[in-house]
Amino acid sequence: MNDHDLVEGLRQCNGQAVQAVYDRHFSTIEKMVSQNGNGKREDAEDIFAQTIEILYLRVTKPDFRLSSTLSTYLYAISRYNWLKQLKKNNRSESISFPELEGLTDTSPDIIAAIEEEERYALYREKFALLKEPCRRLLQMIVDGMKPKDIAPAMGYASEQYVRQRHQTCKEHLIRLIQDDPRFDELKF
Amino acid sequence: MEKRPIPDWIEDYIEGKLEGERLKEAEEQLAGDAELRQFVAIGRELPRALGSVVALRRIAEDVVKAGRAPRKETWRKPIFIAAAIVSFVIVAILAGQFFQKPSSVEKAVFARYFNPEIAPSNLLRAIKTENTETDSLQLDSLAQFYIEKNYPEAIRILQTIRPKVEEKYLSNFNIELGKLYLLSGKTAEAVEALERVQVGYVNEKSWYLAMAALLDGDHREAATRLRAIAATEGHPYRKEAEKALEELKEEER
Repeated sequence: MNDHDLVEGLRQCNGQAVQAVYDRHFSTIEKMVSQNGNGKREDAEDIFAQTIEILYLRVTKPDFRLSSTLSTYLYAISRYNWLKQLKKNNRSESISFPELEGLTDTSPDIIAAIEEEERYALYREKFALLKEPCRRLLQMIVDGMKPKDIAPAMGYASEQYVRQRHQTCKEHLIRLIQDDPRFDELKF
Repeated sequence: MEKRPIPDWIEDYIEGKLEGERLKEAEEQLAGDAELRQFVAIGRELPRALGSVVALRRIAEDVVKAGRAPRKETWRKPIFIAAAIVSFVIVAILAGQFFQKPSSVEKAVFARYFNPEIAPSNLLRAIKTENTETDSLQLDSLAQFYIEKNYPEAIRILQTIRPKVEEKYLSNFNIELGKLYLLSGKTAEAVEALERVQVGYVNEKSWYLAMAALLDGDHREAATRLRAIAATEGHPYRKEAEKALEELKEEER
């Protein structure tokens, strides 16, 4: 599989593509994590998992273009993410000065991708806190189901009521997100 | 602290439905209200963020699996490929000697006439499970797999839900399962599911069993089932069955 096939595979959530990306690139990320801040294998695994999630969110955007090799792209995401975590956890004293500069020389596209994933992670976390009927309703709307199909599936009397409930659930979710202390640190 | 009410135009604004004077007023209000602007920004991102929940869960599982998988030993790869090619050639030669080439006529007719309506709402109506957390997550995943046309995964979830389905919904459940198996090209499993339909859905059952026979390349069985449908007054698939029979005869010539 070449880079294009891997990107296409990831877009389709193909397990073989994930396996291939792991086989080819995990060791590089593990090495980077180990050499910067003496990270362990588990740290590398976490960073790799986040990197794949960020990559998935990027490749599923209609305007996505891989402007470098997949290897370079993955490395850039992982490195920025790892250095950011180290800085946050005050473990940065063991990293050489040029490496910490990596936080400022990373491309704006990579930074935007990571910030987007941070926002989405908070949204998903708050979504999980909603009551079950609200979650189901929002998920159905997101999945493209029409109010006329949702009403009988949810046991609601009318399409109008589906719209009202949708509005209320969505508003409640956005309030939960805005009220989280981490929200102020997120960038749009 | 009491929250300010959200203006009722906000949803239309997020969806880009506001125009003219209403749009102008909304933009003026947004310009002076940072919290409201945040609300709009989150509202715009939510569909994509929530739409990726199931996919990201699957990817996370795949990453964990990838980490557990034994690393590939590259020197073995060329030997494995060569062995696979040799085995394939031998099997292909033997198969050519002992078996007839399967007919594609029936499959062509199947492809023209098998066009089932696959919608999450059909199945959600068919599955009445206890309202537990797990069920909810499974149903969300199921709806997502339907939309993505990932039928093998949808089948996997259905199999886990089956024990919880109430007796009176089992026929509908098995019709849906049969359709999914046909979409996945698994005729034996489709027939097994369809044969379990005992109450109601007589017409759907007969039609999809005919489709299964076509997909299986079983000309005689398919023709028998299609003739029975064509002879049934009021059968919703009567016309399709007549046409499919004609096409089977036509293709034979």
